[in-house]
Amino acid sequence: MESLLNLLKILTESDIDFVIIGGFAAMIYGSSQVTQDIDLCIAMNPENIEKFRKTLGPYHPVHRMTPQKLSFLKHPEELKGIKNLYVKTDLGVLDILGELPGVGSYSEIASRAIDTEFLGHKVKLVSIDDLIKSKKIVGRPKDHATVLELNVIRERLKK
Amino acid sequence: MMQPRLTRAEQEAVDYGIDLNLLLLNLELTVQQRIEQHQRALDMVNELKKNFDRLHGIPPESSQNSD
Repeated sequence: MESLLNLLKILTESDIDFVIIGGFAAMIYGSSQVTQDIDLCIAMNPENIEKFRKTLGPYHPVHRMTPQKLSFLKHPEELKGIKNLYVKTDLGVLDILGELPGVGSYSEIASRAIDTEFLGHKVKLVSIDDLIKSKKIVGRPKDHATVLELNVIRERLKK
Repeated sequence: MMQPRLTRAEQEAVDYGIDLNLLLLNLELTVQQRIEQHQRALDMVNELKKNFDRLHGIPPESSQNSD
């Protein structure tokens, strides 16, 4: 059964370093918007992609953008030079980005990220400033609503 | 009763139609509670969507979307 909560659980139990970004990060900050997926920023290298394959393996991951829904476990064979991965699993959709366009690379995002906790595991959450910047760049109406909420949340965090 | 004066960010959110009270209630929750609450909301949205698709003969895969 699809459950982003369970998807996050298996990710936090893995040994993969990632930063939660996107709408799911906004929700963790307190946004009331409902999101259908988890977006992560990672150091996009063959070793990390293999870790994702191992972690997601039991949940039948496929490349959701390919018409044939190619298996993430088999494709691509060459793991160098990949920028983003858009994966659908039995637990839900997971978008994995190597950078946040207009905001920074994984190392920059991770250096400004904050630590939070989920089920006893430490997880990295994109900084609220980076999140607001990325949402402004994407610029869809729902992103604008999220930015307005995050502006209020940022004010409250500063108090 | 006197309403507290809204900050500029709060006023902008309210003007756009954001439910400020709902947002502030979220901030009282722990991270764990926010994630659980979101999952419940998502389950409900997906259930409603599934029922809508079934009633209108829309195949399940074609209605999926994500951020």
